[in-house]
Amino acid sequence: MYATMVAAIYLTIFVANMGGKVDEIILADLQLRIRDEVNRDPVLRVLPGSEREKIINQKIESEIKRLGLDKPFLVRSFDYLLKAIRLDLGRAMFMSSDTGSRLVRNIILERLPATVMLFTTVMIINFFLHLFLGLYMSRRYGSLLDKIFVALAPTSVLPGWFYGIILILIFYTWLHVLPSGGIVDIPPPKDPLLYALSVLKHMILPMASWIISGFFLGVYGNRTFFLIFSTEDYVEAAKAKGLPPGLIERRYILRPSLPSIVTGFALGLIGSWSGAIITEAVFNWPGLGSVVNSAIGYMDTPVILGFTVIYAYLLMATVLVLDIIYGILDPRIKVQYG
Amino acid sequence: MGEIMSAAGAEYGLKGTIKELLSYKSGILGVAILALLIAISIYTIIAIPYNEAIRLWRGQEAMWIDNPRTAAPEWVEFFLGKKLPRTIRIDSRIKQASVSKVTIDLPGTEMKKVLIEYRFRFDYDELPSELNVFFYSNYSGASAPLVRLIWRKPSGEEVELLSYGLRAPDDKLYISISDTVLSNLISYYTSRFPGNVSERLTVLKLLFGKVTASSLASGDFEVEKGDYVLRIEATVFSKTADVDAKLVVYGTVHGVAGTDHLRRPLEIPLLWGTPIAIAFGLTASLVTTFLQMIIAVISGWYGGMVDAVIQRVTELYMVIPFLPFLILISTFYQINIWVLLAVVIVLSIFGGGIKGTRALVMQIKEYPYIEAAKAYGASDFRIILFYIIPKILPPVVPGLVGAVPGYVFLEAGLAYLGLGDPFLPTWGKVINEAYTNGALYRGLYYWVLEPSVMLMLTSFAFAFLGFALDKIVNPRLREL
Amino acid sequence: MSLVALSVRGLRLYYGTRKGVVKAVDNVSFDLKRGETLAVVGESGCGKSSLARALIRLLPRNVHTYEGQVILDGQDVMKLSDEEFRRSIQWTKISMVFQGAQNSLNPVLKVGFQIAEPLMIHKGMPKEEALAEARKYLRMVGVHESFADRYPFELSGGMKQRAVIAMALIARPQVVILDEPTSALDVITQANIMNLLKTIKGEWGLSYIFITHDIALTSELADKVAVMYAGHMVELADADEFYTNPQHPYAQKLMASVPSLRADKKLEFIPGAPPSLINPPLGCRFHPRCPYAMDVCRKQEPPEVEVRSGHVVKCWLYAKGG
Repeated sequence: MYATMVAAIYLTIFVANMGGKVDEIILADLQLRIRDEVNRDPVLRVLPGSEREKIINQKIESEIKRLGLDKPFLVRSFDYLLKAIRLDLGRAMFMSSDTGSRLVRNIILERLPATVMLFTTVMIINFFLHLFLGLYMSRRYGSLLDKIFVALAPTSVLPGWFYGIILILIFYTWLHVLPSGGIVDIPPPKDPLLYALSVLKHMILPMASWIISGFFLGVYGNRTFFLIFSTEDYVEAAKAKGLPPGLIERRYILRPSLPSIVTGFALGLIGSWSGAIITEAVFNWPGLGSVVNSAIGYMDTPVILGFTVIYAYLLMATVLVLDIIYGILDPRIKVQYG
Repeated sequence: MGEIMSAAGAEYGLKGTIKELLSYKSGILGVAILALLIAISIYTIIAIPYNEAIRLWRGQEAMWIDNPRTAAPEWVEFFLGKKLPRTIRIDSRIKQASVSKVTIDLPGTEMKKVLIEYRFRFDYDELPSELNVFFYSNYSGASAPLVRLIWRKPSGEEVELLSYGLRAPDDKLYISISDTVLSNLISYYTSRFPGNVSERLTVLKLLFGKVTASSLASGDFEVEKGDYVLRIEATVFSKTADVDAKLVVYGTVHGVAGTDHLRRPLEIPLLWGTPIAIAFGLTASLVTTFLQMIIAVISGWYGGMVDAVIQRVTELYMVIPFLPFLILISTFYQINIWVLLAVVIVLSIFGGGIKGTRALVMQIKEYPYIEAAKAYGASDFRIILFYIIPKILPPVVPGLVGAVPGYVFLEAGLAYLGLGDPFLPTWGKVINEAYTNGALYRGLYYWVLEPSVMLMLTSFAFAFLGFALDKIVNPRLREL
Repeated sequence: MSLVALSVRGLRLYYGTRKGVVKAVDNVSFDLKRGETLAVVGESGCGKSSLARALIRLLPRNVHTYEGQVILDGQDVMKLSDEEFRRSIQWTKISMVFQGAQNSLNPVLKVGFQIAEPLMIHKGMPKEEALAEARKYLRMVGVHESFADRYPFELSGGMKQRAVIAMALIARPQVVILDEPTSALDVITQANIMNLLKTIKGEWGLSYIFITHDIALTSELADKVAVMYAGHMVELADADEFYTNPQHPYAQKLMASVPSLRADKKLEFIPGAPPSLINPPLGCRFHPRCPYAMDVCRKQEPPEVEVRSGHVVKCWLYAKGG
């Protein structure tokens, strides 16, 4: 599994470098560093400009040789790979984090919590919403409500960020009741409680857009899913055993279907990271996605590369967690691994 | 003949499938919308050929200068209940009733006086958005014509707006934003109505509004409806010199779809977005599904090492962040939509859809009639083509159709972010431009809603079709 | 303690589909004595599985008619509400071994737990005690008790079948319905299971209702044989009586179609296909395929005629004055 992720990161580096961008990064990084060094060195600082330039260039040359930057790309790409794996993602070209750090890693990790807060919350809400409503609907299949859900299922084909735009149009442009973006009012309230409330207010529309997007299909899918599971023979047997209906639902329908549900959830989670990027652009949400958007705007390559690496890590973490949970839930796997 | 032998027991040919499709409401809806969209696409491609569309879309302001900026569509009137101003264009070079031009020689000199008078009726409920005069003159050397612009309102009062020398033969006078004209108007009116003067006065308000002491003070004006006249008195300094001009009184609405910030009519991207979206979505989906199917077949049929390798690559794909990769590539390398399409396909071929199909292939592989076929010496290729593929095709079709909206939104999303093809008029691009030009803050609903509606229609068409097809292919779902 | 364990009168189960009302069980009546085994035989779709479900009240979603009398221990259980039935009858008085028992076990629960479940739910037994009982029953059916801690997928087909039988017995019901309990098993395992059933029956005095399409199989266990056709019970007789002297034309054909190892027998088959249960033929439902069909058979449903004590046939051939 880890190997796969490493391969993915290497692929990223390879692709990015096809335009020679990785080279540019390293070179730029180097030049920045050396320039910095020289300009801070009290001895060298006092030298006249042209002298300093000469020294800088000399140093750069020697660094290039030292770092083997004159070595062929293949070798260097592995070097970058190793660094990337350790999350040593270098320095940004133009951007810096809120704390002033130029390290790509800091820039990105600083924004991660905002994204997690928003999207993980939405995913969890959606998960339970779809689960319980789906279960409820599976008992009522064929009813009018059921038919409504089926008819409206195609509304989920529109991604959350699309609903986001429409929601902003309604609730901000037209009704003026909710903010159009950002994470907190400007200026942010001093009182922590008011601050939290302000953040919550800003979370309403982004969350609503993803809840609406996934709603009808999510419930419908789960309902179909539970229906299929409830037609299993062992559910019939459980009914014949005279078990109370609530127990049957929990132990004989829900439990066996849990592995598949969790898989679906994890896949949805992975998908949500993707949708996050555009959503954060729509709502001006200061999270991972906005970092990418800024980086695009600035053409700040190290940040974009670094983001892809972190994203790959996120994905891998999700897949790993999924594997573990799956193992816990499905006795077939549990037994195999003792 | 197009027989589709389905794996799930539904025995329909192609005709039968279509008939069955139409028996579902969702099927009818989907087919209907799709037919509409295809009709639009065909019309568009014929009416505005591709190159022409690109030319128009990339046209600088010069091409669209006669259009109002960010004007709403004309039918917005019905919702607002007001008569909204359309753009009035009067060109003195074109003989028409609303303009008259008289040239008077001044005896004893080389000079001529050119008098152009524009007459138009303005009885809309709102002020125009802009007022410009475009000059088309010809003269030689340093002797630029002198022009004087005089405005007559329906009430009869006349104001001199401006008096100046042309700076170029094709000089453009942006009257509505001209400070000189504004101060001329203000001094004229304050001399008539001494008193408080609002900070919110504009040229257009004073030109077209009912000016009273109170309106001057409040800054709120009612439109003065009636006949207006603009007189241009030009003095030229040679017998061969001449002056022509075009008056454009810009409305606040334009056409069926309105205009954008560059004055371009939104019909163009709306219409052209249709074939682009459908082509992109369908192609991406078709090619990806097709390739995935082939890979799944190879993986399932040959098993062993080949299967293991393909499985590993599929896992690799799962971990690749699709969108960031796409962003990465489109930031670094300037791409057009076809390259984008290719990249999307490459990034999707080893996707998750393979697992299902592969499982099905492995199942079918064990069927007795496959063994029988092998026994009578059929080649692998033949077996795959005639036995396996027909069985795995039906379950794959609904997914194929259902995936199209995803790709359409992918392109739209990228365009929204500012990536994607920079020259193509697509719906996502329109939304992107609307967003970056503050449509949300300025309440320019039409700008965002029109491409959104198109996106929705397209997505729903394919989604409905996909759902209906799903029910046909999985009879089990029909009962559910 | 009465001799009769179960008395069924006029049981009907109809359910509605898009195409019409399916009369799956149509006016079925019989008595089952304590310790007796009733074999119910018939073709696919004749309603025998529906009969089983009707008795244990496992009704489909789209039930149209569900009426009749089912007297168990002097009580007409049809009159009980669903909740009362669930609590007092299901599994504790009537239990069932399902067709395709392979899938009767919940894959994510341990085998022992599932067997013990009825005790915990219906008798309120604490878990440890119930599990101990479960292990006892597993032993009884010939499965090593260590399998109580295993999951269903770890057991073979035959073992699962035995486990399911243990599960059906653990609450000590009076009647056990077995719906094709051996059809998915190989012949040897089948024989083993039949032996097991015989042993238990002998020891406990259980009443079985044994549903199968394999008439030869029934000879092992059956005290009585009932033949179902198109939702009707067309013949009911003591086993020996039935094997030697089937009266109903359909039953006769069934017996004739059973191959014999000893005699050189010409195998007969029954032409035609079973009728639709939505629009059954008028009159006697078998008349289209019956070699003895008479005019009256096409028009009127035949009465149930007792040709001998305990031998009932639903056929015009035996009706008086027919």
